[in-house]
Amino acid sequence: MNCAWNPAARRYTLRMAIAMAAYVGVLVASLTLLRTRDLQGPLLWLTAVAPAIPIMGVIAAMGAYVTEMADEYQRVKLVRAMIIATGLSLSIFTALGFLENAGAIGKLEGIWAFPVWCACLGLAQAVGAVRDR
Amino acid sequence: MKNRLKVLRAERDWSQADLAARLEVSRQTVNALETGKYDPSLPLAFKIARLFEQPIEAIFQDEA
Repeated sequence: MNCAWNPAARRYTLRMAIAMAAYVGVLVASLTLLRTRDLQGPLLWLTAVAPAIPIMGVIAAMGAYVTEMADEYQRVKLVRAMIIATGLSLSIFTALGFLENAGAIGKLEGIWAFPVWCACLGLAQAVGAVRDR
Repeated sequence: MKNRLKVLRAERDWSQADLAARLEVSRQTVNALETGKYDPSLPLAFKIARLFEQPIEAIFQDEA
């Protein structure tokens, strides 16, 4: 996220680094277990869903950053970009969902929802930065 | 909403960065306030009023 180097940004960076490090570790462990063990029932569910938990941590870190930002105008700009990113990514996935139903494209991978939202956020922030110049 | 921030700042010979530091906001925020791109929250408007020692309505004018 585009931000000045302030206490909220420092905390955000630290939380993000922890969540991303946890994600890499949990993802590797999860994929290894799913490949090497014949997991069934709740253990399969738990192992499969485990990498989503640090990603939820990333989302929580973003939410905490919004609430902790001291500069209200920067907060308004970030929230506006997040709303645009949400609308854009929901539109993309809705369109892709209909294309998938029609057999025009392959299977839609749900795990791409958050990365696509992040890409849309980056785009919305870049457009906002150009407009603010 | 119109405001007299730029005039009040110029009277004191402050740069946008000086005003931003006094208000504890970014210079971008001061610029957005001065150009009317952004209307401040009530707490920030009161902070501005205290800094310039003027009532809020002497700094901000409703265009409606």
